[in-house]
Amino acid sequence: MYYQTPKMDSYVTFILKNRLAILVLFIFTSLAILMMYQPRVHSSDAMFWLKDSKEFKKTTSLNYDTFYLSKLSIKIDNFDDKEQEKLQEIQAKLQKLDNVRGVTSLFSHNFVKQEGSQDSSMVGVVNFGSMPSYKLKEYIDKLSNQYTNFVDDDFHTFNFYITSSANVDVKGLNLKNNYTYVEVDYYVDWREYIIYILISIILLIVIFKAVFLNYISSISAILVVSLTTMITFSFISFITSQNDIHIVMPFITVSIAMVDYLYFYYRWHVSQFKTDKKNALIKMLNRNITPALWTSILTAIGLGSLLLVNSEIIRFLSLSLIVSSIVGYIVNLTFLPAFLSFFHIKHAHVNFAKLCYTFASNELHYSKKLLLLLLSLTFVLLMFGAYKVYSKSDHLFKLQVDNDQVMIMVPYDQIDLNYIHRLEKFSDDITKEFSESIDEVKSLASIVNELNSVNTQTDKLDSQALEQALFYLDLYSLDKEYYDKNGAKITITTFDIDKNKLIHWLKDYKDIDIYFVDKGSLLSSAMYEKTILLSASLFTALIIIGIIIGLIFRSYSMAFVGFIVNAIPIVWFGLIVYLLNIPLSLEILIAMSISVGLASDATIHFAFKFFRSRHFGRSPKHALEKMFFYAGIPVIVGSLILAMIFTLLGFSDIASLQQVGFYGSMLILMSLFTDLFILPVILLYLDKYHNFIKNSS
Amino acid sequence: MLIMKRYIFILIVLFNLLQASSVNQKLPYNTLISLVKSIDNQVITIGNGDVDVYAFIDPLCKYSRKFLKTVTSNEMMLKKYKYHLFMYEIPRLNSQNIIYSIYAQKDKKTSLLDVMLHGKKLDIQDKDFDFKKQKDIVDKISKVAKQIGVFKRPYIIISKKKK
Repeated sequence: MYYQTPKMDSYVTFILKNRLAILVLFIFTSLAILMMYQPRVHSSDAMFWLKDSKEFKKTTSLNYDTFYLSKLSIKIDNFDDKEQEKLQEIQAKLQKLDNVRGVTSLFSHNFVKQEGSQDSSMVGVVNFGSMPSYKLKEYIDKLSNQYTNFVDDDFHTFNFYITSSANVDVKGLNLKNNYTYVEVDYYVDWREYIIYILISIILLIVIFKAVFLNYISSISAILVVSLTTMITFSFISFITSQNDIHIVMPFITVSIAMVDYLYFYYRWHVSQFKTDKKNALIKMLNRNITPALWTSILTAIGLGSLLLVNSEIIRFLSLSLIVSSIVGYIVNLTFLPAFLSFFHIKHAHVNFAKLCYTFASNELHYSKKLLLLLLSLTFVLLMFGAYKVYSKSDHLFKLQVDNDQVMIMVPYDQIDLNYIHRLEKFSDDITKEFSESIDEVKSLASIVNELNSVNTQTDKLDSQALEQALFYLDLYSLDKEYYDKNGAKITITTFDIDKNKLIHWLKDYKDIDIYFVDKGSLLSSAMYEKTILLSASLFTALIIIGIIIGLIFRSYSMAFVGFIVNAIPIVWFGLIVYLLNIPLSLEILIAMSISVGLASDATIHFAFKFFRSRHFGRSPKHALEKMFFYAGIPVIVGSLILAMIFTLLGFSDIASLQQVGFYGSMLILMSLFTDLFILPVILLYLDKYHNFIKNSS
Repeated sequence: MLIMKRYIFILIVLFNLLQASSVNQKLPYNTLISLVKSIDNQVITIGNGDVDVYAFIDPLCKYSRKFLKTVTSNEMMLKKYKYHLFMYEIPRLNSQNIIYSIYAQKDKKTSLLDVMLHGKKLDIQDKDFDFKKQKDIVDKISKVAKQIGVFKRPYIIISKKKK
């Protein structure tokens, strides 16, 4: 409990005696990990999501090939024969690039027509690319709105939709600066990643030098954080045989390890003001060993529930948090004292420690009404958020996309009229449901009807007309574009649509059996499934954390504190995200998980310090001051450093890093705000219900 | 006189309508297939696929030539389909003699391809050659074509073999 002070003398003596051996052990462990553990680092989360996607499994069960769809947009000044030739050259070059399986553009489009006169005629197919530019423009102008996904009304922007088995490097095309390419997957740009790490390290050194007036604080921080990260991921790899990690995942361990480290280091640092080196180590350990143990247990049990979720990525995320918390604890108890024992601090004071007294005296006179209002409002918002997630609100999962494509396969036993009519009905239904948001539904039914409409030999679509249409598809080698032996392909081109809503509608469509084959849609589908799951799990984790904190402090009210303090940053951040119309995503949930990890640590450390001081007879004000001094400063320093590192990530070219950086820094700052201004006030509010002096006697 | 003109005009319109309806009149699928199969011995076949394509073509018709060229230049089209080609003249093209000549050749298939794909002109060596046999073939094809309502060339009918 918070009023007990563990005896650490003999442990510190043991550490001091074996400090070299401990350091050597850690150095060898790190070297062994560096040599043996070589993770595959990904910067796209697609693989992680698709691994346990039901839709992906369904698609692969029928041996359908899955592929990526990406878009290259090229801007030109004036569309003439010369520009058309250049654009067609780009199309040809694109088709020859590695991994590319097909390119759809205006120039790959064909239109069918009846060629010849009454007695001598035949169904013909004309490729747009074979038409002179003025004629093509005339033709497209006549069919207004039919090709807007390939070319804009002014003939300035041309879109090329690329089907590929992996990422396509369009840099080889030597395009000028007049293009935009939406990549489907991202290579890990190690140069960029290393630059970020270096900048983060420099930032860390500068801030630690400013706060602690030494370099040893930053060196030991880098060592503890690196060791924790390396051991965490190699251990996870060892127990799960999972060797793939996402580029963002180490930031979870860095966040947890950094703040845990600061509680230990800071206590060692300030303890040298009055005591010697050995006593500083004892204080560092006996003041932190219990709260840090509880934070590790709290993380392990609170987030342990996520391990039961049937999703590899969610299990991996929660394992990262749990293992890093436990490993960080062990490193802080063994490596850190062994390493720090070699050093002595000359300036044991901390520059802005006076800030703690300001906080303490101001927060002592808090407004009870405001506090209750904030807590009630948070609770109402939490319930509202839970309802929105549970009801799968469109607003929460909205993913607005423009000029996007979704590709699906529909299996068949035989291509007959019934099958074609089912495809036609699907086209009608989707167009009716999404009206103007659907640009085109290209399917076997659409081309069969097109061919039949120009075939003078046939009237309405009967079995003979269908056979003839299929014959002409073969004759002009268009068959592969529409079907293969496994099924018919449907390409849905959308215009400004909520893709999640579309995917959800397609998944629920019953009249035909739909198989997603483009990875973008599979990904949206998988993320949609798991985001709901992760949100629900995070909510459960908050409740479990509350219960454990209640058990640690043997108080129902502390259970509420544990729950609400962790919930406040998430709820208010969720409100901002909701109002800004940002869809719930993995990046947001990773940032939220980090916030839960940090907030639960802070709750325990703050409450431990506060109740301990109150237990030993300090006044509420003095207890607050001690709490801010011993727990507040590490939280402020740690949170500010993390917020800066995450903000830096926001400038990355990689979308996933950008988002985690942006959301993470926001949530870390909101967490810090809660720790500094709300948690102490709640503790003060609860203070009157605890008879500390009596307990101590 | 004016009344006479009107009658003539109405008669022309009626005649055209009748003709048009005979063109668009469709026979049931099974009848169509049995009709084309009845003249199958007069046919020139190309390809060896599972799906039968019956095509009425005129050796001088531009689109019959395009059809044959597209089909023969595509290996898949020869593997997947079997083409039963019936030569049926478009009156305005006066191709009767060429049709007779092709039917008179020993290797009808090669002659047809030579004429339609390579523009070869067939010589009828003996001017007094008796075309009776060829005329019978052409007449039979013509009779069936009229029953079916073949109004253009190439005119195709597709029959999938039942599995």
